[in-house]
Amino acid sequence: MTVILVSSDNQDFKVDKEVAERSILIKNMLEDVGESDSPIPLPNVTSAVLTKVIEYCEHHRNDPVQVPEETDDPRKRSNDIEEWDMKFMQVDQEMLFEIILAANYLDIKPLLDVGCKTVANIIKGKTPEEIRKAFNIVNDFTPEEEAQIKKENEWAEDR
Amino acid sequence: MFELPELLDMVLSLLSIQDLARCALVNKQWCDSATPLLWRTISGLSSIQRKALQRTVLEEILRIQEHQEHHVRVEDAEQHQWPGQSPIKGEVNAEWKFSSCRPSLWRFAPWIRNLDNPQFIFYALKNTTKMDNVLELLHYFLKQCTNVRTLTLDIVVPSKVFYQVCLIIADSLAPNLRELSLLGPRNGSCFGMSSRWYLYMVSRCSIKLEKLTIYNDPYPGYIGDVVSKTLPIVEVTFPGLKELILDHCWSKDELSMWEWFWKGCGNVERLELRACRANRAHDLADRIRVWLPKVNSIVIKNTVHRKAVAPLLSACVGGWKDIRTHAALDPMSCKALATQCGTLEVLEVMTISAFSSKTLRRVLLSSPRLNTLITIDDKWCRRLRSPYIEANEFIDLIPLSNSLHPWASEKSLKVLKTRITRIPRPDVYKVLAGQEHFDTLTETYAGEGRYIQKRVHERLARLTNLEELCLGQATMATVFLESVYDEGEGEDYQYDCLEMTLESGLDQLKDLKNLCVLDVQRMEQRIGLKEAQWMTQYWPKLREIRGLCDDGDNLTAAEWLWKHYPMVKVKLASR
Repeated sequence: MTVILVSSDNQDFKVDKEVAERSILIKNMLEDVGESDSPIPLPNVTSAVLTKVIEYCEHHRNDPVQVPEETDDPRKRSNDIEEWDMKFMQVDQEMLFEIILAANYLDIKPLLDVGCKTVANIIKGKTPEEIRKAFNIVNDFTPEEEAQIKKENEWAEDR
Repeated sequence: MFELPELLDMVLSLLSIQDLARCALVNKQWCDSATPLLWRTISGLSSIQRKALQRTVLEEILRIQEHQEHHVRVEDAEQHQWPGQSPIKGEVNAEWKFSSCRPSLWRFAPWIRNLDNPQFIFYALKNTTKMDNVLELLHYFLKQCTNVRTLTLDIVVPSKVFYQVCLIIADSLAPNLRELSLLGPRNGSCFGMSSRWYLYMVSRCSIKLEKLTIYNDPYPGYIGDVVSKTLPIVEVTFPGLKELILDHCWSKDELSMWEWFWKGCGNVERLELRACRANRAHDLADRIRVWLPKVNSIVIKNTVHRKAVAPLLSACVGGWKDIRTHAALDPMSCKALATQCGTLEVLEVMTISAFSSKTLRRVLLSSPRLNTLITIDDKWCRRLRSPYIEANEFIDLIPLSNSLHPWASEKSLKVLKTRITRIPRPDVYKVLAGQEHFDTLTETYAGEGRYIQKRVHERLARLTNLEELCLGQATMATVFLESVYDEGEGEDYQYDCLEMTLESGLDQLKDLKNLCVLDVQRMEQRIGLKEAQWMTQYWPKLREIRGLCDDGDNLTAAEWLWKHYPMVKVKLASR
């Protein structure tokens, strides 16, 4: 059985129901409307992003449903990214952010996790200035505020 | 995407405290997200980090306190009865006037969720100021830590001061804890704390407590001049407590003291025992039977006396679902284990005994719910001789017939990690002729090796729901750099194992449609190109093959997999 997804720029995507249901949002929608052939509009996702998301869901169609890990300390969780996912995430930054936003909107937890891990890997080891540069972020601290925060967090720095 | 705070939080939650400290300096929004995460877990800090943290937390208060000393009359701590009365007077705190900015801890303390040995704040301070003030400050700080969920206390060298610090911790943190670990000195050191002290700490916890770990000394002593008999213990119950991890089961004269504690553990489901002496086992088993009606999972560490295992394995009223034992099984324990087959879902046996092979067969034969059987550690191999199952027991022919015994676990088994041994390998024998190897077997008739390999494959083929099959074992070399082979235990490489070629019957496994992981580490398995091709054709869910060697046919197979099936993870090992 297939379903039709419609991107924000009005392109139709025909995908297997099993693949589309990797998105909890779509899964719930399909459950709510019951048997229906009507296309599902996804006004927040462009066709370029939707193509990528579907590619991911196709590749992971057989994965077991993820059981959320109930650990209080997320740093203890594995930060490994599978090889296929790593290659899949080798896109420009704009696309990377778009994929993460789409995964968040469509509620595809494993894709959201991989996206966040990819961004976290970009941040790792960088100085604040390098991070600002990498993501085009403006520093809105006064020098005093900056010094204060630096002092407060001194204990966490590399020793 | 960083405009959505929850996404920024998600990314930052994956970073180390060092990275978080840098992220907090990016801009205000990042600072707001990073700072709570940075303070979430205070654990495993270096001594320099500890000193820096102590400065951050308490320096401001010290400064304010010094400045306002003439306004605030701090009563002499000795006037307070420990611990009956709170050593801090609320109005004292209220009088502190925080001028421009409030002390850091007002903001930071509530973010701390996981806290490891908070007494370090005290130790770092005690040289800089008067002790009574320090105790008060520590109490004050801990009172702000209202969201600590996980607390670990190492009781390494208890002293009177440590004892007082712990009482402050019990008073301020215990009621909110989800997880508490009280780690006393092990290995019979003389610095024990009395059971009454542990009980006092535990009695200050609430219905929120979910997991409790207690390691105490087998010969608890009494420390300092603070007599624990005066500790007021209110007997409470722990309806939220699901997991209990215990060490020594307390000396005989202290057992009665623990009675109320056991009564309060009625909802515990998982029990882990780090140590239990043989003469305490029946007593402990009785407690499990009477006071832990819901327990169904047990972990027995190798420090538990082997004679204590059998009573523990018989102690579950409803039958154990999950048994993980690192202690050796004696004949009595094997018998006790066999009585649990009806309920058993997970079995992990890590220490060999003379009965391993027969017992494992018995479990496989009669456990209809068994989904996981593990006898080897596939990540590290701590001992060479992990439990194994001999080929003839694994094949398990019905006497006087040529067919295999149906096993109750055939359809339920999803994870099988064990060695299958005593398979004649004439191919290996020829190569190694002249060298002495413990694990090579000669054939008693020509073709015996092939026959046995085919029948082992036939047995494996019946386990149609298998997801993970590990027949190899990790090398010991990475764990113990010193040579272990001198001890006459043999090598960690398996020669009398299953050859996993199509000729030896691999093609019988074509119905293992759920197989995801195959582990053949340090095994003479002879997997080559055609086997790799066969596996990818018949096992649609295969995503990992561990332990192919970096030479010969194995390498050819691996290179083909890398090229044509990149989604299958293949990591090579040296021979």
